[in-house]
Amino acid sequence: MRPPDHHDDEHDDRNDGARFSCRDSTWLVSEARDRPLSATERAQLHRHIDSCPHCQVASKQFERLFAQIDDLLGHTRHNGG
Amino acid sequence: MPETFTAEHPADIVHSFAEHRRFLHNLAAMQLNSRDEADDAVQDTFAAAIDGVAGFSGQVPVRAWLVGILRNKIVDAIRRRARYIRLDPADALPSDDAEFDDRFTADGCWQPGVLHAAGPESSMAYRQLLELVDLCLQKLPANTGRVFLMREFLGLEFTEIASQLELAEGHLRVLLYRARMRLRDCVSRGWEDA
Repeated sequence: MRPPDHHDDEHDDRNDGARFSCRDSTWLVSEARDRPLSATERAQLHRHIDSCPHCQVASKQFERLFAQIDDLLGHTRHNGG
Repeated sequence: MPETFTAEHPADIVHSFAEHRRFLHNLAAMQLNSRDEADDAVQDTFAAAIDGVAGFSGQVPVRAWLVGILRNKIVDAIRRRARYIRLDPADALPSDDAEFDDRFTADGCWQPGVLHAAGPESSMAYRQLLELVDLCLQKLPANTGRVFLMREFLGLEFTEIASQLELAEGHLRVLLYRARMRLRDCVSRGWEDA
């Protein structure tokens, strides 16, 4: 899987939302572990997840998995709630 | 097992190290080139922990403390290495993008039925959940697991991992993505089967 085309240009964002897929969202969820997402990426991701029940399940799974990985590998988490 | 850290006597803490040996060794073996190197890293970790046990505050679980020491030992070992670690090309190449095709429809939507349980069965204790993650980590292809742990365990920067492995950064991102996708698959199946 290659990274989908992401447009960091804010103005590019409006018409792009419809083509952003579940598969694209998994890519960004992974990327977000390694770097802060751009504002456009965050907006794309959240807009998609909000409207997609499958991705709500998947993102919950990733969130739990990542928290458990942090515990397993001895990273202290900053509890934001 | 309820763990109260602060009240424990240093000798008891040292005594408890043995139960973490296998976990530490597995972690080290995924990063280093030989069993001997992994053995050395774990031995060095225990030696440092024994030296430092009086200063152990009990703020974190014993295992997390040991894992933190091991992390430094592995980073040292990796940085001491004069030559690059070559990844096995068969496992390392981004191949044809097809690995997760069966999880998604042609237009990139999740296939129904591949997501499994959103969360663990309530019957699973947290310790079991972490064991499941550990098990799933061990099942990753060797290179994928190595890259994943260099990032998520050792916390190395992309540029350092890329130069250690002579790997392009884009390729590195793909391997990390694959590792996380596989892990999600594996643990969510485990949550359902519990």
